[in-house]
Amino acid sequence: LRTIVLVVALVLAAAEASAEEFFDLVEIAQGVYGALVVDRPPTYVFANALVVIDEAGVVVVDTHQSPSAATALVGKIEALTEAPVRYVINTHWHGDHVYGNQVYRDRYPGAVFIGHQSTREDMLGEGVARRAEELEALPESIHQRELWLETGKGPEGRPLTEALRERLEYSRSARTRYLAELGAVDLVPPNLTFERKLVLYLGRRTVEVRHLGRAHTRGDVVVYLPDVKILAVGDLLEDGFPYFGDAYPSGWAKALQEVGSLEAAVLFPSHGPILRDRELLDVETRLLSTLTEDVRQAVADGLSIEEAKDRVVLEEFRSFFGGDDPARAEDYRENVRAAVERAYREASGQLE
Amino acid sequence: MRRTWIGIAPLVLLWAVSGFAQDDWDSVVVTASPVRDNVYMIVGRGGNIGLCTGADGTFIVDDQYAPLTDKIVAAIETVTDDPVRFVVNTHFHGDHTGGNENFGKMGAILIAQENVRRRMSVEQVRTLLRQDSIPAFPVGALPQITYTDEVTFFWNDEEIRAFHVEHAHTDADAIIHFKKADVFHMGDTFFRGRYPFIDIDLGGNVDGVIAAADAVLSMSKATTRIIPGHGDLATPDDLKAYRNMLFSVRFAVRNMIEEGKTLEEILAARPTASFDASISEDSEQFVRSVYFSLTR
Repeated sequence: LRTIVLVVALVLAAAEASAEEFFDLVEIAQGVYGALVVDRPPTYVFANALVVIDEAGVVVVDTHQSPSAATALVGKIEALTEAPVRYVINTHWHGDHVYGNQVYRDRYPGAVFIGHQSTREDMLGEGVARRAEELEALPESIHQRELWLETGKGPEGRPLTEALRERLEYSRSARTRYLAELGAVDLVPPNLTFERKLVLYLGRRTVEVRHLGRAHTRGDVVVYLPDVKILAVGDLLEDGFPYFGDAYPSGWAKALQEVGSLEAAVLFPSHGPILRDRELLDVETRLLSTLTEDVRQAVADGLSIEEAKDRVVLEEFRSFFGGDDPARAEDYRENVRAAVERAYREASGQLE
Repeated sequence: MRRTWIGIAPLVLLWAVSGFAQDDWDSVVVTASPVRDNVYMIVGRGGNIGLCTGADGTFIVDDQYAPLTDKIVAAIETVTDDPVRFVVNTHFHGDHTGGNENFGKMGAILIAQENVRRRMSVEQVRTLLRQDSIPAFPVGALPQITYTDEVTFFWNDEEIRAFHVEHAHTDADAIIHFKKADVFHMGDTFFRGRYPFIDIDLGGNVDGVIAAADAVLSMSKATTRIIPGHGDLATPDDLKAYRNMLFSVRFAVRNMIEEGKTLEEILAARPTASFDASISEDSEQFVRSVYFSLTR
């Protein structure tokens, strides 16, 4: 018996350790857990996941970028409840939120995958293309890191400091592991799609899934738990300057105003820590409104896209997003220029 | 004792629902017949059931009355061995949702427009077109997923879209479109061969019924097939004739209202006269519902 106990303890410890590598599981309210990505996980894991436990079934919001991380979360969920995962919700189509879907499909054959209608289309269209690009680019980026580490000369021929060497070693290792996983990712798109609002009535809890219009992508959804006033906002809010690559800035500004009108006490973003106040929401709402208005004015004034980028620099937000730090000033400038480009294309009718 | 109550409950429900005796339910024959591809229509008593089969699991639209669940399951089993995974309700009336609790217990997910759940959750009282009420349904009969405007299932190699049409037969109607098979289930926004019941007291309106027919006709080809809430499988031409009947009765009633006629005078004028020969049913309740649609 002692041996069995010891083995069980070791297995549990191993499971614990492997899960802890990817994320910290934090209980936000009774039966509601955030899987918050750790700094430097062993493979690509960028987005947090939210787990909602109910006697009638478990709801998971976003599935991590690597199936191994999703598998680790499944292990955690099964240690917490006997209820199966019934619903998987994708906040939008980006790979860091959906690549783990297959783990839930294989583990829970009855699970229903929920997303906005365009999320399914984009996963099967642009999502397939992006994954192919990732698969093609990764070996080269790994090789590059190997070269830097071998020669002792880093990017732009700079000699490797200890800190940089360590960062490159981590990056090489995470990319190598991610590459091996990515090839086996089977994109599982939502099989229950909606346009404006879905409500899931579980045994005791209610889960509201809403699309607040085009924002970070054309298909973002937020997930609201009215009993505990927790709102998972996906990438509508993130720690750091927002990503505009697939965004609709004017819609995003409106979506954040709607987020503000909900009675949420806790905002759960996909990137960064849990938010228990509204500072980031307020700043990002103002950032998007300012961006949208200033770029619209630039278009109205007949400015070219480059001229608009030179005019709209969003100075008042620089310090909030770390642009005062000399090492990050250039990043801030580039981020704003990318945002202006997207807003300009939207304002001038170039986005469909 | 507990077992006894479970045995009695369906009987109580059965009388409450329609005043049927057990023998009446025993005599009901439930059959499934193919419509196209993996889509079938099941006829028994109550609203027609749509059925879609395939690798992901059995999907049905509406489930008639609770005492018929076993027969419905047997009819489904003539087509597939897979258990029912999804039940979509076209609206909240008991002749379409009576089997919900049974199918829910068997593991199906129940899904409907949000007003279906709202109406089923509490007693519904009618005072205008009818003087009666629908008791609240048990929690196990309520939809587990609700939607506001529309949902699409990518299921069994089909694309099944359920979309809400506002204020039609009730205020909670959905039309279900099996896109690949090109088959619609219109719930009670379409009664084939009968004058419709429009539930004025619970959000229905003739204008919404006409709009629902127009919406389906705009998405139909000659080969489209339409499962009505009640009556035989239909074609777009059948739906067009139904829509034109609704429109012309509405037109006549509206003109008489504008002339200042009372409801009694309108009923006496028989605005459905030109259709009465082809529809063997009394039209009074229908005409009253058109009148209330236009005057409330």
